Amino acid sequence: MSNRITRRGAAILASSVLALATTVAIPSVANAADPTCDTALGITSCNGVGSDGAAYSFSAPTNFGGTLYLWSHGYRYPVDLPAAIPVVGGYKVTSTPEPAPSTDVAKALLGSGFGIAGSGYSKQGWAPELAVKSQMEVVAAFKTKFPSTKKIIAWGASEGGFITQLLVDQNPGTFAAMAPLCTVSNDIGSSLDYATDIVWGMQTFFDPTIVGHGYAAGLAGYAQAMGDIGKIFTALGALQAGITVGTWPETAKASPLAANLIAAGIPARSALLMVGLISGLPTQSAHFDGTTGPGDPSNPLNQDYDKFALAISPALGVLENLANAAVLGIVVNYDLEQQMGGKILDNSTHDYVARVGDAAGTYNMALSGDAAIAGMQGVLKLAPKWTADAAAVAKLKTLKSTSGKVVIPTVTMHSLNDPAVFAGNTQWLTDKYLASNSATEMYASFITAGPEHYTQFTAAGLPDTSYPIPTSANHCNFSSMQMLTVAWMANYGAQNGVLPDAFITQFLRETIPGFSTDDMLETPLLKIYG
Amino acid sequence: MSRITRTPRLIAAVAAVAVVGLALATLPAQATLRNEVGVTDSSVTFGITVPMNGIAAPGYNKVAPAAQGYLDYINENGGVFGRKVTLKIEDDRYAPATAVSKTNKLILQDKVFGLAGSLGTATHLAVLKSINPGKRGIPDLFVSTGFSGFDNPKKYPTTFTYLPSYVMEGKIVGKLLASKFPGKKIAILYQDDDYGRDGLAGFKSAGTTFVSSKGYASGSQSSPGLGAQLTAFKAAGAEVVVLFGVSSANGIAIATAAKLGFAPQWILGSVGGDATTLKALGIPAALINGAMGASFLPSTSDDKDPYVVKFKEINEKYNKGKDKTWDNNILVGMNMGMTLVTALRAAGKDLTRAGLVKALEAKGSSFATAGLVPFGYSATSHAGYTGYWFGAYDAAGNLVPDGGKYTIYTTDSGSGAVVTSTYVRPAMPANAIPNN
Repeated sequence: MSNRITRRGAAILASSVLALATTVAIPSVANAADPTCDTALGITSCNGVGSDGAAYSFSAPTNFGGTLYLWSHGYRYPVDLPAAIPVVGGYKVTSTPEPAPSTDVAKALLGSGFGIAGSGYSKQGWAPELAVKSQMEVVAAFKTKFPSTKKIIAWGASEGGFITQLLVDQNPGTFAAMAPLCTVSNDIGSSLDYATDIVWGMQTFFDPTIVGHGYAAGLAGYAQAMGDIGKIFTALGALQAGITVGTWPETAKASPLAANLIAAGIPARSALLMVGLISGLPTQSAHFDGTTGPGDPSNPLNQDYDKFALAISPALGVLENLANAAVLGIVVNYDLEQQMGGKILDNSTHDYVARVGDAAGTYNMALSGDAAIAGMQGVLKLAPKWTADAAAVAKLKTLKSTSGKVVIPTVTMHSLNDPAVFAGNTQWLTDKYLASNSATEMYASFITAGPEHYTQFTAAGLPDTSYPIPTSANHCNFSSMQMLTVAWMANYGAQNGVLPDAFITQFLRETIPGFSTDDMLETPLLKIYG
Repeated sequence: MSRITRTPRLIAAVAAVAVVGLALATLPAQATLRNEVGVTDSSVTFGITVPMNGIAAPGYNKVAPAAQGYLDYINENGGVFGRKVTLKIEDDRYAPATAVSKTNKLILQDKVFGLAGSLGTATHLAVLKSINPGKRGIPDLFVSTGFSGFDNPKKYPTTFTYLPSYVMEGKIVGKLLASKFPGKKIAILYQDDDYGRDGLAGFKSAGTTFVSSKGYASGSQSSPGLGAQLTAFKAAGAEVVVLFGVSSANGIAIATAAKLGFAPQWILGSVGGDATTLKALGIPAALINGAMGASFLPSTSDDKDPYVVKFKEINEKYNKGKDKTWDNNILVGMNMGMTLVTALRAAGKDLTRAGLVKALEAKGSSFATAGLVPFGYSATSHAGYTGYWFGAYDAAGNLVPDGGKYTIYTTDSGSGAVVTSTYVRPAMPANAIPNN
């Protein structure tokens, strides 16, 4: 097979990098502490600013029935990303309030007599406790404006799911139901664990000049972090260009350990897949299903199809996912290192052979066989590990974590192959609930999955990312119907104190497109949990 | 396990759901309370994932249609306790992720009673990891791979393997190499994965030493090819070469050797030793004439074996596969179908998933099948057939017993010795219809 992916370059990477700052169209924000409200077309919409300067917004229809959906938005970068950085450069920090996950969902909820509300938070990045404070002020302002409020449903996505769980943990009696979606769970340290593997893996195999952790204070550290993003995208671009032949990025040759792999003829894509497997990155990504090859699969003369499908597709999925996860991991780490005052990433105890486990057998062909696997695992053992600063870690541990307790009706939803917040976060919450042996129906989980085949190829056989990302692939990429299903479930729970019968939940799984119908599906836990 | 409050309940009615436009009006009035899936008084349904197309398909794509043909024969003769046995075939193209999605389809959409005969180590590893039939209580029978790791009743309580393990094969072939080719320089080409690793462990256990041992990464046999490995064997002066690879790799190795003017005594591993498959891959029977190999079923050319005779007859009439040319793949498939029927009978009329698993553990080692060695099934072992006979390929490409008669060797996947089997195969039930 020829090397035919070269010229797509950064375009493939660029096409799916997470749009973290999802926004719902909101009227301009008022500068006063009391909200400014307008009523039009039967909807009263208010905008205000909380005590900490966080802009918020809420709305309710004339026929408001007394139930409010409080939306907590997800992670937004706390720093601008320089335009010179490939793919994601030019991002500007935004604190726009977000009262619903999308305009369509907002309209549907308002049209059904519900209120919606949400803050933009006073600080972006990882600051869930500040967000909780802001959100509770939004609740107070809403109730002041709409005294008939009886029930409040907390929901949110990604970091917003974490904030949702904290809101409920810290404010017993306030919320009647919650829906943490594609959520971060437990503590940020658990999520940083796989960010460590991803960035360390890129440093170890592909570019030893990646700083990765221990960023300097202030602007110098910011420059280091932004530089790392650029280096990772440069390496990924080279990997993508040479994925069919397994060409290594030039930067890898500076690493003596990686040089051994290069000399042994191990394809770079196998090392890339190895980075994905040690961290838990899915092999299905926004545009690549991990199993499809180019051309007509029914043509027995098309030998390229299966070779590509078995040897290359898994690495291609990891490549796209890694682009998403690495940017997020670097920025979150930079942000938290600045907050904690030192290094917080630590893989000194990671057993990477165990982390790969049976996947070495499953992906043996894409990993280029046992000898190649042993070589790469040798690198993983020999490469210097990262060690955190004890004081910074101690401070990190003082950050709030979610309890995992399900005390009100709770609905979760997660994409099986979420590349940024692994579905294992929701599995952690599920396992906590199951371990509690709750006798009542207080918890329901929906797992979404993209179609079996969605990788597209151009007529020339190149991976084609001009097609829309299918619903349920990628991070928090849910359809409006899926979101409204969760909303309906949560409302049912809020009004009745328990969720609908399990039979109805299963009916919804089997009826709403994009849900896995498997009510026994276990998603892989984060590697940190084994 | 993420199943939340699964207990089925009867629901008399569902109130209209007005919120956010969700239309639940089509909700069934009540759910059916059901303890077993995939079985009724008149039918039982199994599923199989197998590469029906793609690079791994040649040969393997004949197994499932052959099994289905045998089941059709049984169904025409009354089924099993009045139940027709259906085998739903899904093509996984040998891709692990596809095997998972196809198995999910079989379980969730087709609602099969169990899995039977799913083929491939990497693919089934993915299925066990992602779906975990054992935790769901779903029988996962007769997995067509010799990877010894699947024989693990604690980890995989409903999974039963079918083929002898590759460790067993390595041990047995290693013993025979020592006795038939003493002092000869032996080399081995192995697939560099669980399959090859298992086999190498067996040869090591047998004390086999190789003058050259070379692996190939799965999929690399066609590009970059096996020239380097065969050149190394020739340079090492290898007189006997063991090909422990899949059919496509073995075929390429033999063709490459021919180009190099290298003509060692070939020993073909059972996975890649089917002559008709090799022929379809461009290797004429003449090139493997005199090569040696191992099998656990009777020779496909053994017209005195009642199973071979009857299966050939059934194959002609009932096999609806695209290629029903009689060969070892057809024999394996027919026999797998017969084993399934025998197991269903052993489980009794009141069929349950748990009952089927228990029946295999309790009675599986005494099943009457075409196997010349018994299954290793018990409460503590889910190992499939437990041995091999050794033979040579004739001019027509048939593997025939060495010395003209079957000498069966048996062992385990651990440190047990290789011994001559004293197993006496039960007589074939009349018309190859199980009557246990």
